[in-house]
Amino acid sequence: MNSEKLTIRQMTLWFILYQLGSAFLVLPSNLASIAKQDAWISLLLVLAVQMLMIMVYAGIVKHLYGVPFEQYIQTLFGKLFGKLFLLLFTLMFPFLIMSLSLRDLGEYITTVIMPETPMEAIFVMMLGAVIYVVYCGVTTIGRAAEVLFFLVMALLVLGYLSLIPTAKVSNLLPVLEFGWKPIVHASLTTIAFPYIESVLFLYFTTQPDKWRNIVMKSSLFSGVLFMYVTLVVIAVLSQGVVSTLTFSSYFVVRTISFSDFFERFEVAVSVVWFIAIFFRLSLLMYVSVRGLAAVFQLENYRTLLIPLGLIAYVIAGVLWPNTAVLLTSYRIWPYYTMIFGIICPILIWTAGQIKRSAAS
Amino acid sequence: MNAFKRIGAVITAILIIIMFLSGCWNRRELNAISVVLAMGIDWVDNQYEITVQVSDPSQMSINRSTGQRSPAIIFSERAPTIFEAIRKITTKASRRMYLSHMRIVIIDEVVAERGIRNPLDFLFRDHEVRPDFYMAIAKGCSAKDILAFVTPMEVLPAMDLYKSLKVSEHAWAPTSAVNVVDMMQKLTKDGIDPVLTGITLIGNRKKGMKMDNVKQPASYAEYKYTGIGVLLDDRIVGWLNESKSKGYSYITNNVHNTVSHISCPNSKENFVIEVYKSKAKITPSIKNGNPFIKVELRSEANIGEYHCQADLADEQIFNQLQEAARQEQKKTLEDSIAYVQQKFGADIFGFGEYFHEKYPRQWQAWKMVWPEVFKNELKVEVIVKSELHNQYHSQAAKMKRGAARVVNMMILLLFLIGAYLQYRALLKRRAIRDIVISSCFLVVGVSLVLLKQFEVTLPSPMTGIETMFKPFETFVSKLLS
Repeated sequence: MNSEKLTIRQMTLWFILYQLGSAFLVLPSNLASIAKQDAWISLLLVLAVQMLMIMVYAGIVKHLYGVPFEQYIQTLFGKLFGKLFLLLFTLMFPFLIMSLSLRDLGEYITTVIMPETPMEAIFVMMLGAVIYVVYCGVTTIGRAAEVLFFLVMALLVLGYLSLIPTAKVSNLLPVLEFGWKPIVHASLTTIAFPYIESVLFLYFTTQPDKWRNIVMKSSLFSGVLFMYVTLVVIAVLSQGVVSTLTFSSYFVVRTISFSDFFERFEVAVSVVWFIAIFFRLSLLMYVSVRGLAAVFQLENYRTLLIPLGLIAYVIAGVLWPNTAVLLTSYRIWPYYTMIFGIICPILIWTAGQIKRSAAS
Repeated sequence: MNAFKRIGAVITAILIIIMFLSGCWNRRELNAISVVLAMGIDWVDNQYEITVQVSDPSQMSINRSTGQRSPAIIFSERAPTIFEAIRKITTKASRRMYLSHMRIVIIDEVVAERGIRNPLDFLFRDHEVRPDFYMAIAKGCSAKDILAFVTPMEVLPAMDLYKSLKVSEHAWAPTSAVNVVDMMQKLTKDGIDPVLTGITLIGNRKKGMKMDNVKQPASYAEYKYTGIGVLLDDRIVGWLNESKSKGYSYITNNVHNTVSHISCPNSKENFVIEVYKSKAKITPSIKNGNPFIKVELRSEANIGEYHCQADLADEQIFNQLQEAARQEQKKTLEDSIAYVQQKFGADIFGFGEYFHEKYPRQWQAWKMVWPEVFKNELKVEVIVKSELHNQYHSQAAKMKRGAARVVNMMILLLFLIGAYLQYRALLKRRAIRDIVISSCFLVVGVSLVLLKQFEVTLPSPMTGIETMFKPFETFVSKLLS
């Protein structure tokens, strides 16, 4: 059961897919609604902040000395407080994000592909796959990531490279029309979703010395990809159009039409998204059950998969009544996640630092 | 012995084969008939003029030569009776007219004024005619013109007319797709008078009858279904305009889906409601010896378009809109009834039949003079209890909700089976702690699913987050804009 080893490559690919999931489709619209045509610049800012945060996370990894994160927290804060912290952290962060991502998926499928299908049916298909794959263990997920990553990349390349001929540079001009403020503002959303969630990668510290590299590589890869997609989407559609669409990355692919032959490619984007969100959900599920299993001192985290899946299924359904509410939630979400993604890690790191200096 | 058996088998086989190989008695070979898709009945020079529209078989094949020949052919012939006229057409065409696939019958206004019972009689008596065609009255032009006209959408004009009537009845309501069986029923009952939808040609009729009509995007002429014609007994007495026709459709439960605009309560703009469900309940009673009808309309509608200033999310505003919609519907229904009562005295709503059902004795007295009673003594009260919905709630969404509940239960079952299998394995390993903790979570999950099943509105965790972090958001937005 404990032979849960991931190679460096598997980890990197899994993290990239994790970051692509969910954010990939909504990101250009979210950015463009605030930063207009300069949305891509705010991604640079996001990556810079992400690199800083990775330094903090890597600091924590150094303190771990190969101990799993959930055990470390308990030694750091003491048994009681450590457990309380872990319980709250797990339920309010990875578990809630899991429900949110599930809902995102349902929302997307029911709005653009299958409007007459109840969202519940989509939830259960995905949850079934996620529960199964987490039950099988991390190694399985890692291998799946290795296989599917290249399919995802091939589809993305095919979809978004063929948009270049229709892209108009004039749509991206003038640069910095509204100054720096909107760019900073827009970057907040993306820092929070998906990048700050890298704190969850702390659960994967089997190779502590490689950890920083892995996370940096995956963040840079997904960041560059996001930047490219945002650039292309805005250049093809212009920012005014992009900010009115919910799923602009999907919509833009619908405009592809080469000589009546290479067209109607948009379902490929859905495939990409489905795969990416699957890896996202499985990571979140894995982290949630591991955290809770540590809190309740269970011998195996797999027992919690089914109950948590059931709860996530219901919560995903009640998160918001309609898409309009979703958009306001996106605005507020960053401030909430900053507690878990920035404040908590800094706290843990300082505590670790104090403890270490006290010990020496 | 063997030889006998073999002979017996051969004879049986032959008999069976004969049974299947024999032809049909009264057969019509396809190359000897022409399929009539529409019929027009006009009254010209004191005799009927029958026009039939048949499909040109050579134009119906897949690799047809387009543009060379018209896909539909018109024949018309005059005779004192319809049957004669139809048979007389054979003097003009190489094939016999085959009436089973007729989609629509257009009747001229003059024929409708003379009474439609006689022409209907043939259509009902003939064994070839299937009673599933629609009927309409040509208004302001002859039935022949309508059949001769080239329609843009479908290759066969008759199909165009048929589909358009069907679709408009379903999605727009102020038309009435009258089936010939309905017609016959209404003609034979005393307490109800029939209606027929009108059809007319607009634009340049001469050019509309050439193939050129469909050779450019904007046709020279178009057909249009216009309002409902009121028949007293079997004669047409007048027409209802759009809003009154809609009132008729509401009362006779023919509104499947319709759209209407309503002026905003506090401003000059309009908003539009899409009615997707409508049910009118009609209760007859006798008050002081006079007939009294209560029409209770319950409909459900969405807001389809909104131009008012006021905020839709405000419940008070929403109630005002609902009230405005109700008033509008009430007015439509009352106007429609009052107009028909005063102007025509033809009980197209079938109120008489409700009395017939509930007060059979009283009905015997009224039966012969019902048009007079309907016109002068009948009082009608309209009560509207319609509901307006803010979000999308159409029939499809309702079905979706039903499906969601089924899925919900299936999910619960699946998860429970999964949990059972897992616990069984755990029990063998005596991992009691795992089972207890996990089943605690499972109980939470199951109760949540059950709450969902009974459509209890669960609080969203997002609302808490939203209220807590809203100040930060407004602060940062202000700072950065």
